[in-house]
Amino acid sequence: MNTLKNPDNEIVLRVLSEVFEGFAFMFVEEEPDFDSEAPVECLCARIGFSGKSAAGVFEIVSPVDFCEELAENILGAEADELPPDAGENALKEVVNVACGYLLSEKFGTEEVFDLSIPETASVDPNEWRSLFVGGSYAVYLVEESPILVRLDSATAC
Amino acid sequence: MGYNVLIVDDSPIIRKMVAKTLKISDLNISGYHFAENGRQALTVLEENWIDIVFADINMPEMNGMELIEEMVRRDLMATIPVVIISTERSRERIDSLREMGISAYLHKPFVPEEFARVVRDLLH
Repeated sequence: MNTLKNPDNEIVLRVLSEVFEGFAFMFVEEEPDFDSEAPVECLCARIGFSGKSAAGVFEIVSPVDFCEELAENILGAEADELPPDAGENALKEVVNVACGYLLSEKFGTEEVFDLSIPETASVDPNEWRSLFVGGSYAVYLVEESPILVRLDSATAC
Repeated sequence: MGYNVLIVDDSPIIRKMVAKTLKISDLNISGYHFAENGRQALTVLEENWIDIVFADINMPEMNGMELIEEMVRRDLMATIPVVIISTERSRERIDSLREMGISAYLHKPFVPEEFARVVRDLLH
Protein backbone atom coordinates (compact mmCIF):
# COMPACT_ATOMS: atom_id res chain seq x y z
CA MET A 1 0.00 0.00 0.00
CA ASN A 2 1.19 3.52 -0.81
CA THR A 3 0.08 6.54 1.16
CA LEU A 4 0.56 10.10 -0.12
CA LYS A 5 4.09 10.66 -1.43
CA ASN A 6 5.55 13.99 -2.48
CA PRO A 7 4.57 13.79 -6.18
CA ASP A 8 1.02 12.88 -5.10
CA ASN A 9 0.92 15.85 -2.71
CA GLU A 10 1.31 18.20 -5.65
CA ILE A 11 -1.56 16.54 -7.55
CA VAL A 12 -3.72 16.43 -4.42
CA LEU A 13 -3.14 20.13 -3.74
CA ARG A 14 -4.13 21.01 -7.32
CA VAL A 15 -7.23 18.81 -7.17
CA LEU A 16 -8.33 20.02 -3.73
CA SER A 17 -7.81 23.63 -4.80
CA GLU A 18 -10.03 23.20 -7.85
CA VAL A 19 -12.71 21.29 -5.95
CA PHE A 20 -12.91 23.63 -2.95
CA GLU A 21 -12.69 26.76 -5.10
CA GLY A 22 -15.19 25.43 -7.64
CA PHE A 23 -17.70 24.19 -5.09
CA ALA A 24 -17.36 26.63 -2.24
CA PHE A 25 -15.07 29.55 -3.16
CA MET A 26 -12.63 28.32 -0.49
CA PHE A 27 -8.87 28.37 -0.91
CA VAL A 28 -6.47 25.56 -0.05
CA GLU A 29 -2.82 25.54 0.97
CA GLU A 30 -0.42 22.83 2.08
CA GLU A 31 0.58 22.86 5.74
CA PRO A 32 3.22 20.17 6.33
CA ASP A 33 4.24 21.62 9.70
CA PHE A 34 0.74 21.79 11.14
CA ASP A 35 0.40 20.81 14.79
CA SER A 36 -2.29 21.27 17.40
CA GLU A 37 -2.78 19.40 20.65
CA ALA A 38 -6.40 20.41 21.20
CA PRO A 39 -8.93 17.59 20.70
CA VAL A 40 -11.18 18.28 17.73
CA GLU A 41 -14.57 16.78 16.97
CA CYS A 42 -14.24 15.58 13.40
CA LEU A 43 -15.66 13.44 10.62
CA CYS A 44 -13.89 11.08 8.25
CA ALA A 45 -15.34 10.79 4.74
CA ARG A 46 -14.11 7.81 2.77
CA ILE A 47 -14.59 6.50 -0.77
CA GLY A 48 -13.24 3.33 -2.35
CA PHE A 49 -12.06 2.98 -5.93
CA SER A 50 -11.03 0.11 -8.19
CA GLY A 51 -9.64 0.03 -11.69
CA LYS A 52 -7.32 -2.04 -13.88
CA SER A 53 -4.13 -0.46 -12.58
CA ALA A 54 -4.98 0.40 -8.99
CA ALA A 55 -7.49 0.07 -6.18
CA GLY A 56 -7.74 1.68 -2.77
CA VAL A 57 -9.40 4.33 -0.68
CA PHE A 58 -9.38 8.10 -0.49
CA GLU A 59 -10.18 9.84 2.79
CA ILE A 60 -10.65 13.36 4.10
CA VAL A 61 -10.85 13.97 7.84
CA SER A 62 -12.31 17.34 8.74
CA PRO A 63 -13.42 19.18 11.88
CA VAL A 64 -17.23 19.12 12.17
CA ASP A 65 -17.32 22.94 12.37
CA PHE A 66 -15.54 23.17 9.04
CA CYS A 67 -18.01 20.73 7.41
CA GLU A 68 -20.83 23.09 8.33
CA GLU A 69 -18.94 26.09 6.98
CA LEU A 70 -18.33 24.11 3.78
CA ALA A 71 -22.07 23.39 3.41
CA GLU A 72 -22.89 27.06 3.96
CA ASN A 73 -20.47 28.06 1.21
CA ILE A 74 -21.61 25.40 -1.26
CA LEU A 75 -25.25 26.37 -0.89
CA GLY A 76 -24.72 30.06 -0.27
CA ALA A 77 -26.89 29.71 2.83
CA GLU A 78 -26.72 30.74 6.48
CA ALA A 79 -26.15 28.09 9.17
CA ASP A 80 -29.76 28.26 10.39
CA GLU A 81 -31.06 27.61 6.85
CA LEU A 82 -29.18 24.31 6.47
CA PRO A 83 -30.72 20.86 6.98
CA PRO A 84 -29.27 18.86 9.92
CA ASP A 85 -26.89 16.67 7.91
CA ALA A 86 -25.68 19.34 5.49
CA GLY A 87 -22.11 19.43 6.80
CA GLU A 88 -21.70 15.67 6.59
CA ASN A 89 -23.22 15.60 3.09
CA ALA A 90 -20.96 18.42 1.96
CA LEU A 91 -17.85 16.53 3.07
CA LYS A 92 -19.10 13.33 1.38
CA GLU A 93 -19.60 15.18 -1.89
CA VAL A 94 -16.17 16.80 -1.73
CA VAL A 95 -14.49 13.43 -1.15
CA ASN A 96 -16.50 11.98 -4.06
CA VAL A 97 -15.60 14.74 -6.51
CA ALA A 98 -11.98 15.03 -5.36
CA CYS A 99 -11.45 11.26 -5.69
CA GLY A 100 -12.78 11.12 -9.26
CA TYR A 101 -10.67 14.09 -10.27
CA LEU A 102 -7.58 12.82 -8.45
CA LEU A 103 -7.73 9.42 -10.16
CA SER A 104 -7.93 11.02 -13.61
CA GLU A 105 -4.97 13.28 -12.79
CA LYS A 106 -2.89 10.42 -11.41
CA PHE A 107 -3.77 7.62 -13.85
CA GLY A 108 -5.15 9.51 -16.87
CA THR A 109 -8.59 9.63 -18.46
CA GLU A 110 -8.05 6.38 -20.41
CA GLU A 111 -8.36 4.40 -17.19
CA VAL A 112 -11.86 3.44 -15.99
CA PHE A 113 -12.44 3.42 -12.23
CA ASP A 114 -15.46 2.30 -10.27
CA LEU A 115 -16.11 4.41 -7.18
CA SER A 116 -18.02 3.27 -4.10
CA ILE A 117 -20.73 5.37 -2.49
CA PRO A 118 -18.97 7.75 -0.04
CA GLU A 119 -19.41 7.09 3.67
CA THR A 120 -18.67 9.08 6.80
CA ALA A 121 -17.74 8.12 10.35
CA SER A 122 -17.09 10.13 13.50
CA VAL A 123 -13.51 10.25 14.74
CA ASP A 124 -12.75 10.32 18.46
CA PRO A 125 -11.66 13.93 19.22
CA ASN A 126 -8.66 12.59 21.12
CA GLU A 127 -7.45 10.69 18.03
CA TRP A 128 -7.32 13.83 15.85
CA ARG A 129 -3.70 14.67 16.65
CA SER A 130 -2.46 11.09 16.26
CA LEU A 131 -3.78 11.06 12.68
CA PHE A 132 -1.53 13.81 11.39
CA VAL A 133 1.42 13.17 13.71
CA GLY A 134 1.55 9.57 12.46
CA GLY A 135 2.34 10.75 8.93
CA SER A 136 -0.35 8.73 7.16
CA TYR A 137 -2.33 11.88 6.35
CA ALA A 138 -1.21 15.02 4.57
CA VAL A 139 -2.46 18.25 6.16
CA TYR A 140 -3.98 21.08 4.12
CA LEU A 141 -5.51 24.31 5.29
CA VAL A 142 -8.80 25.35 3.74
CA GLU A 143 -9.50 28.96 4.70
CA GLU A 144 -7.25 28.33 7.74
CA SER A 145 -9.10 25.21 8.85
CA PRO A 146 -7.02 22.00 8.79
CA ILE A 147 -8.20 18.95 6.85
CA LEU A 148 -6.34 15.64 6.70
CA VAL A 149 -6.11 13.77 3.41
CA ARG A 150 -5.02 10.23 2.67
CA LEU A 151 -4.84 8.25 -0.55
CA ASP A 152 -4.12 4.56 -0.04
CA SER A 153 -3.69 2.73 -3.30
CA ALA A 154 -2.34 -0.66 -4.21
CA THR A 155 -1.21 -1.35 -7.74
CA ALA A 156 -3.29 -4.09 -9.31
CA CYS A 157 -1.56 -7.17 -10.68
CA MET B 1 -45.87 27.97 -18.69
CA GLY B 2 -42.43 26.98 -17.44
CA TYR B 3 -40.35 23.82 -17.72
CA ASN B 4 -40.41 20.88 -15.32
CA VAL B 5 -37.02 19.54 -14.27
CA LEU B 6 -35.96 16.34 -12.52
CA ILE B 7 -32.74 16.36 -10.49
CA VAL B 8 -31.35 12.88 -9.71
CA ASP B 9 -28.48 12.61 -7.25
CA ASP B 10 -27.95 10.65 -4.03
CA SER B 11 -26.34 13.73 -2.48
CA PRO B 12 -28.95 16.12 -1.01
CA ILE B 13 -26.44 18.94 -1.19
CA ILE B 14 -25.99 18.48 -4.95
CA ARG B 15 -29.76 18.31 -5.49
CA LYS B 16 -30.11 21.64 -3.66
CA MET B 17 -27.11 23.13 -5.47
CA VAL B 18 -28.45 22.22 -8.93
CA ALA B 19 -31.91 23.57 -8.05
CA LYS B 20 -30.42 26.78 -6.70
CA THR B 21 -28.29 27.23 -9.83
CA LEU B 22 -31.40 26.79 -11.99
CA LYS B 23 -33.31 29.31 -9.89
CA ILE B 24 -30.66 32.02 -10.29
CA SER B 25 -30.06 31.26 -13.99
CA ASP B 26 -33.05 33.19 -15.29
CA LEU B 27 -34.47 30.04 -16.90
CA ASN B 28 -38.20 29.56 -17.04
CA ILE B 29 -38.48 26.65 -14.60
CA SER B 30 -41.87 26.10 -12.97
CA GLY B 31 -41.55 22.64 -11.41
CA TYR B 32 -38.70 21.01 -9.51
CA HIS B 33 -38.73 17.26 -8.96
CA PHE B 34 -36.09 15.28 -7.08
CA ALA B 35 -34.90 11.68 -6.87
CA GLU B 36 -32.11 9.97 -4.94
CA ASN B 37 -31.39 7.27 -7.52
CA GLY B 38 -32.41 5.95 -10.92
CA ARG B 39 -35.27 3.85 -9.58
CA GLN B 40 -36.93 6.81 -7.86
CA ALA B 41 -36.31 8.87 -10.99
CA LEU B 42 -38.25 6.38 -13.16
CA THR B 43 -41.21 6.66 -10.79
CA VAL B 44 -41.12 10.46 -11.02
CA LEU B 45 -40.88 10.23 -14.83
CA GLU B 46 -43.87 7.87 -14.97
CA GLU B 47 -46.02 10.21 -12.88
CA ASN B 48 -45.02 13.67 -14.12
CA TRP B 49 -44.34 15.59 -17.30
CA ILE B 50 -40.58 16.27 -17.21
CA ASP B 51 -38.81 18.46 -19.79
CA ILE B 52 -35.21 17.79 -18.78
CA VAL B 53 -33.34 15.42 -16.44
CA PHE B 54 -30.12 16.18 -14.55
CA ALA B 55 -28.52 12.98 -13.28
CA ASP B 56 -25.43 11.77 -11.47
CA ILE B 57 -23.84 8.45 -12.47
CA ASN B 58 -22.59 6.94 -9.21
CA MET B 59 -25.75 6.30 -7.17
CA PRO B 60 -27.00 3.36 -5.08
CA GLU B 61 -29.83 1.02 -6.20
CA MET B 62 -29.91 2.21 -9.82
CA ASN B 63 -27.06 4.30 -11.20
CA GLY B 64 -27.20 6.96 -13.91
CA MET B 65 -26.19 4.65 -16.77
CA GLU B 66 -28.91 2.14 -15.83
CA LEU B 67 -31.42 5.00 -15.63
CA ILE B 68 -30.57 6.12 -19.17
CA GLU B 69 -30.82 2.53 -20.46
CA GLU B 70 -34.31 2.29 -18.95
CA MET B 71 -35.36 5.68 -20.35
CA VAL B 72 -34.19 4.73 -23.84
CA ARG B 73 -36.33 1.55 -23.69
CA ARG B 74 -39.50 3.50 -22.88
CA ASP B 75 -40.99 5.48 -25.76
CA LEU B 76 -42.37 8.31 -23.63
CA MET B 77 -39.05 8.90 -21.88
CA ALA B 78 -36.63 8.24 -24.73
CA THR B 79 -36.68 11.79 -26.07
CA ILE B 80 -36.31 13.66 -22.76
CA PRO B 81 -32.93 15.46 -22.71
CA VAL B 82 -30.57 14.11 -20.04
CA VAL B 83 -27.67 16.15 -18.66
CA ILE B 84 -25.16 14.10 -16.71
CA ILE B 85 -23.43 15.92 -13.85
CA SER B 86 -20.76 13.65 -12.44
CA THR B 87 -17.27 13.16 -11.06
CA GLU B 88 -16.63 10.66 -13.86
CA ARG B 89 -13.66 11.62 -16.03
CA SER B 90 -12.93 8.36 -17.86
CA ARG B 91 -13.03 9.05 -21.59
CA GLU B 92 -14.35 5.54 -22.31
CA ARG B 93 -17.27 5.95 -19.92
CA ILE B 94 -18.13 9.46 -21.12
CA ASP B 95 -18.05 8.22 -24.74
CA SER B 96 -20.40 5.39 -23.76
CA LEU B 97 -22.81 7.90 -22.24
CA ARG B 98 -22.75 9.99 -25.42
CA GLU B 99 -23.45 6.85 -27.49
CA MET B 100 -26.40 6.15 -25.19
CA GLY B 101 -27.81 9.52 -26.22
CA ILE B 102 -27.18 11.94 -23.36
CA SER B 103 -27.60 15.59 -24.33
CA ALA B 104 -24.69 17.02 -22.33
CA TYR B 105 -22.05 16.10 -19.80
CA LEU B 106 -20.82 18.38 -17.01
CA HIS B 107 -18.05 17.65 -14.51
CA LYS B 108 -18.58 18.36 -10.83
CA PRO B 109 -17.95 20.99 -9.64
CA PHE B 110 -19.63 22.74 -12.56
CA VAL B 111 -19.41 26.43 -13.36
CA PRO B 112 -22.91 28.00 -12.96
CA GLU B 113 -22.55 30.07 -16.16
CA GLU B 114 -21.63 26.99 -18.22
CA PHE B 115 -24.45 25.03 -16.62
CA ALA B 116 -26.98 27.76 -17.47
CA ARG B 117 -25.71 27.98 -21.07
CA VAL B 118 -26.03 24.21 -21.58
CA VAL B 119 -29.55 24.14 -20.15
CA ARG B 120 -30.65 27.19 -22.14
CA ASP B 121 -29.38 25.60 -25.39
CA LEU B 122 -31.30 22.39 -24.66
CA LEU B 123 -34.57 24.01 -23.65
CA HIS B 124 -34.82 26.67 -26.35
